[in-house]
This record gives sequence, structure tokens and C-alpha cells, in this order.
Amino acid sequence: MASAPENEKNASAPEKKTLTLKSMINNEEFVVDEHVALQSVTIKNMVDSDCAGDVIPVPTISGEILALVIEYCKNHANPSASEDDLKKADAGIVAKDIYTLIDLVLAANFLDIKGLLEVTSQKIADSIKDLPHQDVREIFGVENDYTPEEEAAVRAEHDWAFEGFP
Amino acid sequence: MSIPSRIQMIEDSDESEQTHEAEQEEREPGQDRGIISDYSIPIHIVLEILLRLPLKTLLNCRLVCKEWLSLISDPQFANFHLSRSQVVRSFRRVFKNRETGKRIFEDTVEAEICALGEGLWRRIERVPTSIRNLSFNAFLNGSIHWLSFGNGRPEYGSPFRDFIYCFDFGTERFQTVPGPSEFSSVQKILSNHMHVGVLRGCLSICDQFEGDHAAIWVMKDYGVKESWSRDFVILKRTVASEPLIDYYEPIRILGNGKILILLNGEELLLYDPEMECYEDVHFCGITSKFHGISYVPSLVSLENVAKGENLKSLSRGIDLLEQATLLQRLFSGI
Repeated sequence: MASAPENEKNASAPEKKTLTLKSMINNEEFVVDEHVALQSVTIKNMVDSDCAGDVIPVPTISGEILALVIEYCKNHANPSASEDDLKKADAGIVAKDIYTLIDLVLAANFLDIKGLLEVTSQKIADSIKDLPHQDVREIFGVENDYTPEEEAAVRAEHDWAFEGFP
Repeated sequence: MSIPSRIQMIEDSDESEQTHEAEQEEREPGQDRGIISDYSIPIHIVLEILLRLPLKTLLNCRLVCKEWLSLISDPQFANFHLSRSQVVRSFRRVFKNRETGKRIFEDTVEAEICALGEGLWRRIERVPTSIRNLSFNAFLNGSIHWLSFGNGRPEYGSPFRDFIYCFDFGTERFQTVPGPSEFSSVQKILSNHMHVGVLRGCLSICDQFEGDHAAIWVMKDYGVKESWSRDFVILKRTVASEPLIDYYEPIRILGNGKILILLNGEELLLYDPEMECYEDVHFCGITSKFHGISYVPSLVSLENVAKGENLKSLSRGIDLLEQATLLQRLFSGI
């Protein structure tokens, strides 16, 4: 294959091809089998439209997060992995602190990997479900734009629901 | 989710990188929070996460900011949220004789199931037992529970052994759940006048036939007979001259240890186990009898979901008739 670059361009034998993903945050590079990387719709679109160079720069995603994303893609590119195996592997990938999860969900969104987006969103939901709204605010980096009176009015609408929430 | 604009950003990566670094210097506090990305969380990701939250958390999340409030208050959001959470199903009993098609009593009761919004009732199987005393909160483990003793069909176990029945909405099957082994047959017979409920995530039964006390039994491990324990003993408010008249239905144990109790389905009381006394809980707007069963929390108005479905309340006549018969049997010494 290597001796026939014209054929390679036609992308008829993707299993041998690799792509290099480079985190633009800390310049870490990852060499990934193309079929693994193509689970990212964003990367697939780039490859399909022939605008992917040898190295694909990935802005805004750190090497640490990119490694998690690639681990997810590798697991899901393995045709012999059972549904149970994948579930366990997914659970391992998202067993992270909330801020790592936020970075991971942003990466999944950026790279357009639906499965990873879903599993990470679920984990974030599970992690924040018992938190007071002040903590949720901080985690999501949201500015409080309520006046104390407005906040009290919103709270009063469903007072019964707030038992257990500070 | 297609995000073509992102591709553009990757292609222009040199520029993005510069912008990124510039922003990073300005926003050091963001780094402290651990957020590496300078992009705020896009609203569709927030939506992805919110849709996966239980209703209580959602109501709490309305306090985060005004944008979240309007997102969560959007009727469209309520619909999405419902479709993400479990399917709402209800089942009903159909009283009819298979051959003649005429409505008759319990022995050939069939069950039908309907997923809310589908508008169609599907026949499932025959109801193994009479269903009465459906409690306020007897939904656990995907099943709704009720007590019925001596009325079970043989294939669901000996009628004199099991008295807790359930309907599993997932498998659409009727089953039995083992009761406390300490229950005597008298207690089992009396269970027809008790209620099964859920306390602290466990199945519970309140045995109110202990003179001036009522005992709350709790099943610590769902389905494990040995895990039943007599967790609370409460002093009755008054000792009724007729012991089968008062029934105590513990609804919830509050954080301070007090127990919220529905008395005779019409009075809501708060019991303080330390002081052994009752406080009245005043509910605004409810004047009639309480009668409710558990629900799936949802932001969707039932009125909207059940549009076009022929909804009407069912008469309790038959249940009352059966109870009366059983009372007669009890008092005539059977």
C-alpha cells in the first residue's frame, strides 16, 4: 500500500492509515488509526473534504482530554467489544471529577462524537443532581443575574421541591 | 448535531491558538476552576445535561440564572424531558366475562396497559388478585404494589402465603413480593386493611393492629424476605373503638426524623417519634378525601399529554363491596 500513494488518496483501505491529532493547548500529539479517529464527525468531514493534513490540530482540547477521547474512540472502534464491555469502558472513562467531565463534554461536542457526548452528559447530570444551585452555577461558570427578590419568587413557585436543597 | 463552523476553526488553527492564548491570560480565574477551554458551555450542551436531570434538580436549576429558567420553563423542554425519562404507563382493570363479554366480578379481571400519549389500551394478562388500597406512594423498582390476602390465583403462589402483589410496568407482569415472616395469618388477613408504601426508598407496611400502637415494617433489600424489619412503632393518635376504621399510611420520613402520616386517607399528620405526639399539617386547597397513587415527575401538564383520551374516574363501588364482605367474615369469627 505504501508504494501506491495514488490508491491511498482514494481512501479505499482506511484500516492501515493513521492520523495525527495535535492538542493546541499543550502540543501533545497522538497517532491514531484513521478508522478510530473517524468516529469524530468533525474529523470525518475534514478527511472527506480532503482538508486534513498529516497533522490535525485540535484547538481548545488539552492532551489529557484528547487522550480520553481517543480511548473512547478506540473502544468503540473495536468490532469484537460487547455492549457490556463498552458500558464498563465508558463508565471508566467518565469516572472523573466534574471539571474534567465538563472539558470532556466540550471536546465531544467540538469533535462531534455523539456517543461520548451522551455518556458524558449523563455522568455530569448524575454528578450535579444533588448539588445546590450555587454549586451548579460555579461548575457551569454561569453568572447569577437574579436579584435576591427574583430568586425568592422563583423558589416560592415550587417550594415543596427544595426540601434537601440548601 | 452538525457543527460545520467548528471545522472552520480547526482549519484556522493558528489564529485560534493565538486568540486562545490571549484569552487565557485574561481569564486566569477560569484556569483555577479547572476549565481549560475558554469557550463557555454552549447552550445545547446545557440542554443535553438538563434533560437528563430528575425533576427536583431541574426545579432547583431554575435558580441558576434567568437563561436556565426560561430554558426549563419552555413547554417544548417539558416534552423533551418527558420523552427522555421513563415512559408513563398506567394500567386498568377490565371487568368482563370472556365468553359473554359481560362485566362481572374479580375472577376474570383482565388488565390493560396504556403508555401515556399513545392513547391505546393493550390487553396484557389476567389480574391475579383483587386490587384495592392502592397507596399514595407504592411505586418502587419499576412496580406498583398493593396488599391483597386470600384472593390470589394459585399460579401466583398459595393464597395463604403471599399478600404483597405488584405490577411491573417494565415487564408488564404481575408478581408477588415476600412479606415479613413474622406476620401471623391474622396479620396477613388484616393486611387487606393496611397499605403498602415506600419509605426511604424501601417497601414498607404499616401494621396498625397493635392496640394503641402501629408498627412500620420496612423491607431493606427489595425482594429479600429476611430483610423486613420492624423499624418504627408509633403511638396512635386516638384508639378507635372499631380497630379496622383507622388506618395509618406513613408517607415520608422527614430529615428531622418526623414521620408524615396520612390518616384514613383524609388527614395529613406529622408524627414526632421522640415526643410521641402529632401535629396537624394544613394543606391549602384540599378539602375532599386524599386518594392518590405514585407518579413519574414531569414538567408536562397531564391535561396536554392525555389530550383526546377518554379520562374519567372509576367508581370504587366494587372494592367497597368486597371490603364489606371481608369485614363480615372477620367479625363472624372466620
